[in-house]
Amino acid sequence: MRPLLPLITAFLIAYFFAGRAGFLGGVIILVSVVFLGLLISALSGPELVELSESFGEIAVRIKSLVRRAGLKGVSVYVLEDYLPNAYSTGKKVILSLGLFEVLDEDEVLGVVAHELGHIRNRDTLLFPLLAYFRIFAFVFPFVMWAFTGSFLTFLLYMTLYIWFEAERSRFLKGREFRADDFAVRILDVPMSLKYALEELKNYEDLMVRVKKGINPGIEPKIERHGRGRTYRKPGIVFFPTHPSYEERIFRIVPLLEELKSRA
Amino acid sequence: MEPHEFKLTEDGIRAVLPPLEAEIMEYMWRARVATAGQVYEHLKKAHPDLRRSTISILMNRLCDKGLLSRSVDHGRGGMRYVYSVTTSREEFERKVVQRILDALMSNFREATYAYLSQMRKL
Repeated sequence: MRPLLPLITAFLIAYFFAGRAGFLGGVIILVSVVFLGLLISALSGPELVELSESFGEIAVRIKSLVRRAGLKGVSVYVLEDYLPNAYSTGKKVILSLGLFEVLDEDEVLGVVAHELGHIRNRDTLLFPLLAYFRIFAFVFPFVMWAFTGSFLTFLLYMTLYIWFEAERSRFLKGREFRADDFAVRILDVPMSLKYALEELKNYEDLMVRVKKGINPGIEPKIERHGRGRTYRKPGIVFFPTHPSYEERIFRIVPLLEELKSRA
Repeated sequence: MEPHEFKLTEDGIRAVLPPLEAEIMEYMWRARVATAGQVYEHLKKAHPDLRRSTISILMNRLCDKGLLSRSVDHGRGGMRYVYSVTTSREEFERKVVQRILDALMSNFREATYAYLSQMRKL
């Protein structure tokens, strides 16, 4: 996992500059950040409704898709939010109510299959960890600056932070493609993921504001601010965590062709 | 809903609402309560290239304008958003006329009075 390389380098430099104390200080800060992150995510969270058979045909089809994915203990929930969104955390797939409004049944299944891909690839564990590591990578330069009193040390650690951001961005984008690859292989209508992405791209083109969640999700750029009703589209994103809809569609099409030719 | 713009070249509610929003409202005033999916299926007949996301966005915009309200329905088929009209067509038209006349009276008081009395005589 390449994003770990800048972090390992940060620890080695801490050992070089401050010996065992520097190394242990880094470990304590990292463990504290991860612990706090886990605590906050355990204590907070939106109100969810489990997708039951009362949802009709779509619930039955989603359950059958989960079985086909070979995943055990996965539950699907609905979140009351009119913005179309989907994400996964642990072994839960969360779909916003707005998603059902914007996509047809096959397309919703395409999105669910993508989220199941994240669960299958253990992204629901990796993505939050990377988010915590990111906080550490940002905080650590300031700690080392205070500890050593050297601005050059600070600059060195900030360079490591930028390296971490670049590696993280590349890693997360790769995981999105992997989740798409998994999705098209388990879908009855593999094309439905492409159609879903096109519809969501249309939605994003028409309106939008942004949020980066730490959990893997279908939306690349839509960010929500609390329960606010405003949107903004980002100007420049230096280290995007999601590939664009176009990039994903561009990769899915040849994959679909390959699957068709095999069949 | 307070109209802020009146297009002299358009007919009916299209004079105060964008064309697709006007079509949605025409449907909603007949149906009174509907899902975005039902509106989409209806409008798709006249606009084959229309997307579900466009209808969802426009209906939420009409909610922001106060012409529709959105609520969660927990009926058969699970949870879903349903939209209801908040005002009748007649009430909406009355508000439009009131708003336009208020604007005319505050900007062109004499001319508006003169024209209205001339119309009354006819």
